[in-house]
Amino acid sequence: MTNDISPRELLARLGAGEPRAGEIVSEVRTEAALPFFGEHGAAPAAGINVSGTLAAIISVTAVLSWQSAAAVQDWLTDKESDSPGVSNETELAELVSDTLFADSELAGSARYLGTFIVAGRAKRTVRMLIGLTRPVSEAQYASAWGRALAATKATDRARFDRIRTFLALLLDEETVQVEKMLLLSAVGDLIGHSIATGPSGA
Amino acid sequence: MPFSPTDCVSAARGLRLRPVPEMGTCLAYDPARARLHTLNATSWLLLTLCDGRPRAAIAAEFNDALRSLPGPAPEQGAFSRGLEQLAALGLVTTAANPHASMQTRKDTPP
Amino acid sequence: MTAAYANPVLETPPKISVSITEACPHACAHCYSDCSAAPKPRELSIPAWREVLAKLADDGFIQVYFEGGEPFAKPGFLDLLEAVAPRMMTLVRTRGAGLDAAVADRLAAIRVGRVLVDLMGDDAASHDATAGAPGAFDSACTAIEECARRGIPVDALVVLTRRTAPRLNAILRLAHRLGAERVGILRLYPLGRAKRIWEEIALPLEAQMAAIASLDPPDGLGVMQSWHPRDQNCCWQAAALDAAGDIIGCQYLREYVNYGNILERSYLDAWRNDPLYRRIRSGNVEASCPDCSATQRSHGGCRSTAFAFHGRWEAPDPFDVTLNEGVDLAVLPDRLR
Repeated sequence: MTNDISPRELLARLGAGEPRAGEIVSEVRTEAALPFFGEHGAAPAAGINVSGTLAAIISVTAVLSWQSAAAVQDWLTDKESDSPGVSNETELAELVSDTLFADSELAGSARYLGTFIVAGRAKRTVRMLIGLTRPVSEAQYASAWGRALAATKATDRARFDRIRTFLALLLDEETVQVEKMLLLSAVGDLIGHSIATGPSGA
Repeated sequence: MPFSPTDCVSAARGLRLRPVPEMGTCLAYDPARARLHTLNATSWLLLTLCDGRPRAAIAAEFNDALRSLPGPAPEQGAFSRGLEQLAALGLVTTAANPHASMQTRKDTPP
Repeated sequence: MTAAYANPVLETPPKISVSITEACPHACAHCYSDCSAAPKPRELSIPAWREVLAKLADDGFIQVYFEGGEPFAKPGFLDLLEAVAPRMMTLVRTRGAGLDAAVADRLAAIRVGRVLVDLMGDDAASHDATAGAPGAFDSACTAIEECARRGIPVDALVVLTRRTAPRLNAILRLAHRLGAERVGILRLYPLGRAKRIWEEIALPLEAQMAAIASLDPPDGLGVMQSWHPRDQNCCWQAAALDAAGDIIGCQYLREYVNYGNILERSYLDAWRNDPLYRRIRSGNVEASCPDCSATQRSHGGCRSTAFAFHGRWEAPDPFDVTLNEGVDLAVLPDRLR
């Protein structure tokens, strides 16, 4: 059997989660199918609503197991945040738009666009997209995340833990790729410098 | 279900485990109760460690195993919560540790 | 060009359904196996099934769902169940024929996992008319009660037709009163004798959706159904054998596929290497309902009804309102007549 695997090997592959065990009862709606996925939250409402022009899109892409993809979806729709009725995804969107470049000249230039599952033949690719309305260098983007997370940790530890959980789901995957997509016609030259300001302005 | 650190914990007899790694789970069939269960990898590890050792020894190995993994570990108390779940499902049984009992008697003041 | 959808992938299947016999004392009007009272000549014997099921357990199967025909009508079935139950979770679908107090005692002792009993009406007149056997209703009710009384989990199953639609809520109440935990409402498949009376019993999709929307189950009764937005393509985990041991993937594909016989080929070999089996499981369908794929994590809906009505394995499932494409489910396609 190819499923001859130990729990330690599976943990090494998936990461440790909260222990979870429960009865699994076949549903007989056609045949006796095993409900592996249980009851998960509905898919978040699709709605990209961005005012203004995007200069670039940051794409964080990871190939996940179905289990991990389901965990991502559950996290996004979970409403365990401190504000009743506010989903984790809303909190994430607020962090990106309000905190990511706070206290800098780039304040307010980031938008959380959404987290998508990409249909493919054999892979479950999950992709988080963040839009940038102004040119931002990779170094600026990375340090902005560091500052935003540190600020959140200092002011709201519970929210920080929730965001970290989500980021770990994507970033701890070996398959993760973070890419920056520039709107070539309007903003940048071929290596990402702003057309308006040149190499030093990015 | 109250546990003592010296209680010995064993997986229920007759359990059949069937890993389904593609789903990130292990199915556990309990023929004595005619029930099928699904365990995530953390619970599956915990179940396999329940081989009759005292609870404290199982906890130590369980926590060591989780600490050795990359990424965030489950929150504190995961061992107790996991064991409670397995016990509630009938997947583990506990027995008083005979050596611990003797020790307790010797240490108990008259 | 087909869209690139994908179902979950299992290296090996964990559960299987087995049509243990195509003999049945009833004469159900819509019987998918076209059963008769006598077994068909190719049917595997109980000793052969013992060997097959032991091998399946060795190969990682951990659950077996027995159906028929009528499993309890096959001599030796209880002995087979007793041999299998220590290694595999067992479910048995029955019309209730022969499941009396003594058999329920034996099932409890064997520790059968779950019993599923077909209800075709909420009273003797309606049930027996479809079952084609006087006393069938009483047998079904007795089966549910005797299992529930012994703590054996028991569900009722009802096929949604013109006959059962007006009675669905009464059937739910009956099942609950008898001790069933859940009722599974199943679609009508154009198989076996159902094809011969299709226009008489099949409902248009709008009427099916209205029937599902009108469900009002008693508190505590679970309802299982697969209409939008819960239309699943469960082929990705489906494994099945017919009464002759032919590998058919799913009982509802029995008239369309045959991946070889279990006496000549291991199940895992068919699972891994049969191109059609792999193709049907893949979920690489022409269209996928976003609501159903979000809830079911699979694409395109049932492959059996998709193939039955369109003749293509990647076709959309016409039982899903978003994928129906104008197919009248009350009319049998000419190919199937």
